[in-house]
Amino acid sequence: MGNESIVVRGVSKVFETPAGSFRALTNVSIELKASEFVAIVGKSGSGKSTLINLLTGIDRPTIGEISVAGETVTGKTEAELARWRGRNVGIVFQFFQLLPTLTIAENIMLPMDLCGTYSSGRRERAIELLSRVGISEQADKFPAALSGGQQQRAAIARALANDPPLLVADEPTGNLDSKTSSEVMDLFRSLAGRGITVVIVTHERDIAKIADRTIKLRDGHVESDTLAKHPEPAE
Amino acid sequence: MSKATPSQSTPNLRSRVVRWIKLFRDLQADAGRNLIMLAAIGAALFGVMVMLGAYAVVTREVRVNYLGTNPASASIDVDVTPTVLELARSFPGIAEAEPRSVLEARVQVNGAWMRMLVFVVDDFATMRLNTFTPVSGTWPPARGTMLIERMARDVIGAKEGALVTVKLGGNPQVPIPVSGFVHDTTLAPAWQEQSGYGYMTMETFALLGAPPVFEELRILVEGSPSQAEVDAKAMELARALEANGAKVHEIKAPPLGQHPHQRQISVSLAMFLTLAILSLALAAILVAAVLAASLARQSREIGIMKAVGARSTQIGTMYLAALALLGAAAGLVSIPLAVPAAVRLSTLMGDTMNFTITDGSIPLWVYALVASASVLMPTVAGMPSIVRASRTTVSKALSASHEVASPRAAPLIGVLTALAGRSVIMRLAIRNTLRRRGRMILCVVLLATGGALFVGALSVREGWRAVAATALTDRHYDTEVQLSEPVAEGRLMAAVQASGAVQQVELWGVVPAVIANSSDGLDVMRTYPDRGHGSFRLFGAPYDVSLVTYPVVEGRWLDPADTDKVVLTLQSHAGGGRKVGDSVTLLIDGQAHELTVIGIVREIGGGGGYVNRAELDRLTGGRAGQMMRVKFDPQRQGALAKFEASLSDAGIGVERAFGIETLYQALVGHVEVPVTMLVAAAVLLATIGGLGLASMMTIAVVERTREIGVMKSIGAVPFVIVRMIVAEGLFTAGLSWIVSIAAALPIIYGIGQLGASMFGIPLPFIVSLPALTIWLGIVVTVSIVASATPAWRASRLIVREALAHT
Repeated sequence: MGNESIVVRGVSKVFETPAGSFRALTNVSIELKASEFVAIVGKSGSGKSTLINLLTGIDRPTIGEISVAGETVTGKTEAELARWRGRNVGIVFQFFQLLPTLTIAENIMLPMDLCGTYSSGRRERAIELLSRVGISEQADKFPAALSGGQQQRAAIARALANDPPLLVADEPTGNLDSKTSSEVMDLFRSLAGRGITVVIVTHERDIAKIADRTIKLRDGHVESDTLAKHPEPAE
Repeated sequence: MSKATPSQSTPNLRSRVVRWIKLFRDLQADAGRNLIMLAAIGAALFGVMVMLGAYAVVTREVRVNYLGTNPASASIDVDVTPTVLELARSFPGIAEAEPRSVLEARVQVNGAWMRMLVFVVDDFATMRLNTFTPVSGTWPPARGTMLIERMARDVIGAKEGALVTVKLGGNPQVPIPVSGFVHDTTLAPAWQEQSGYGYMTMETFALLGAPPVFEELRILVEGSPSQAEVDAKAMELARALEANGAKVHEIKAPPLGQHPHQRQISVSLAMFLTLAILSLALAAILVAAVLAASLARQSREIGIMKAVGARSTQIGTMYLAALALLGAAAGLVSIPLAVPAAVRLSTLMGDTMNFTITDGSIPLWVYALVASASVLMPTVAGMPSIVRASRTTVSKALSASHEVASPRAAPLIGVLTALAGRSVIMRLAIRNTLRRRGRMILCVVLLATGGALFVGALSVREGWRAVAATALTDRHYDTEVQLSEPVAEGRLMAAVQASGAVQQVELWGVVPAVIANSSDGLDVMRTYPDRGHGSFRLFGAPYDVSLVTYPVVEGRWLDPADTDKVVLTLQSHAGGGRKVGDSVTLLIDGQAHELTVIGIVREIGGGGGYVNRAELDRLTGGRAGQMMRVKFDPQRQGALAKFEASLSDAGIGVERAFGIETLYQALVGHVEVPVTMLVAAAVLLATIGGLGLASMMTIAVVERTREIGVMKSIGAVPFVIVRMIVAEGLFTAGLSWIVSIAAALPIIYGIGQLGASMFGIPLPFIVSLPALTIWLGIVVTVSIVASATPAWRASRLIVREALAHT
């Protein structure tokens, strides 16, 4: 992996709706380094979610190019994208999105099953990831039995299942109380410290205090791109 | 102030129908699922309409056909002299009396001899009882010619104007021209009986070398008598005839006003109708389930409608109207399609039972019933969930969650999940199937009902075939030959030897008899005048029987020293409830004989009683018929023809020759019609089950859109999604297959026991492995077809949209 983990070059996204064209992103170019903890902030409709959908390959840019860890994402088919995502991107959603019919451990084993990774020790890896996020004792419960914070930790563990170089989180604390939110944020911080590029879309006001870099979007443009001055927290 | 606003006083049409516009658009939006529901209701209605229509037409036509022949109330076996006829005609309470003869002759077909029933009619022009109708040719037949029953035409290869060769017993064969064809609805189809049917005058009959005497007196009892009154009147007349010096041999009174096959027809139609109604009920439950799912998704909209002023009844009416519309549409499509099918089925039954559909119109009440069922069935089934949904409060409706509940950690789920092994995807598929337990159970019940019928029907057929096969294994001869008149044993054996075709032969005696309820020598047999079922034959067995070994169920077989002893077959035993040690009165040629039952044997494809041959000679005064059981030399080609030729050369007449292969085929053929109908019902249920599964899978995919989006976002390629959804369908199919085996077992047992009352022995408990395999193939195919479209749709979901799905 090069120093520039993620390269977004000249990306625009236009949605065609019955009410006419809607330009969500206009000519956005950013470069993110490996191990960087990046916060993307902005008001509703500023293009935050569109940008991370493009980073994760959930959506395609209208024009422009995106590459992650040296691999061009644009131009892949749906199936190629799914396979690529499974191995290279961990996604954490606002509403956790754990599959209700799988236990917590099984939810974490699912990406490994889908990508054919860790075939000899999936459960062990799932338990290890759960210990890392501090909920290994919940492994055999179904998601509905867990609190919101626990579910979000499980979702983060699932995102780490295939050891991806990039972890993307869309409003990961939007559904959590403030104490749990800060615990989850600390967890992201520590992951970034371990070599994973973490990109978070958030409304958290204090995010700038813990993120390495804060990119602010406004009406589909990058309004500001600020590097933090705080020291790296000790691990 | 009571000034009306413009919208109150002149509401425009659009504002009044706006909720119906919403309803229409909702129906349109869910077009795929609604079409599946439509198809499910339509398939069930089709089945009901076909069955009910055929039931109505056939029941009416059988009655019209049969009563149209003016069937005789009873028939008395007596030599019909002018005095006898005169006495009968003037007898009080007798409306009509006519002479008739029915004899077994033989007709030559492709060089071989086939059985032919010859009906001798006094006067074709004035015949009033048991009439038959001309179809083509010359009526009445001229002297020296004969008419042939239309269904026997192909069986014996008869053509109008061409000759058929007929012989009666040992008399010389006579070529007789065919003057034309008739339809005689009271006879079983010729192909079924492997028999010809000919009609001639007494003058023509005499050409066959028989004495010109009518042997049956057919009578019609006046008014509308009950069965008991008919029996009593026939007995009264028979006694009067005997008092006048006539010799009465037998009295036969068929069940009053009933076609010989009426019961079989009604029973099989009623059975299939029940299955059609069952499928309609299951389709209704399916509709209710699909509707409940749709309503759950619409709860927010219901909340909004209520928030802006809708009353529960308005909302309820909307959804009920949608269901009624759906049902009516299904009815509109399937009823017209079912009408020709119902007529076709009636015609097929007509061909099977030899009656003509004179009027194929389906009665109006059938249309009315099926049309109301088409509207009522889905609305009644959907009522509970509609009432529940429309009564919900605004806040509840608006906050309703569409998330599907997690499974409870039930032990069963654990066991079933273990089937998936290590694959998380397969575990997911299995648990998803079990998530909506009600729906899954419904699909399983639908498919399993079909499976149970399918496996049950084919297993019963296999069981019956095994029973029918014992007809071959218990008999060690090839052909049973009944002689037309007694022949000295020495002369007979010489002819048998001369043929050089016989390995072994046994000479038996045989005589028709009646198990009597009274002992004055006269009794009424409940048989039709066509020599059909219900007759009892008493056989005289040789001392050293080896060509038949019927298993003894109770008591023992005959000893050479036995006199006044009889062995009964299980059927005749089961009918009368007689046991070993009981005494039984047999009427032979009008004479009562009391015998003791010493044994019960199981004989498939026959029925009657056995005494020693010497005993039979004693009972009949040496006038019993002769019957040979013959085992041919397997090395000799055309052994039967050589054997018959040898008898013919010796001037020995054969009344009938019946091979055991033919017997086996006839036995096997008995169950084909009900088996085919059960299989058709199974296919109907499988179709509805498949449609049910398809709609359930469609709903499941819609409900789980976001989950599928999540799976795709964490690396699931489209193929994985397809595999998961198809696996869910297959899992349901597999469960239904297991349930269908369990459900088939009591069906097989039950029909087997029913067989005990019908055939005298229970059918062996056989579960047909081929049937199980075929059904597995069917449900697997059905489930793949049913889940293919939802799976494809799921795999094509756009991740971004799927994740945003609420």
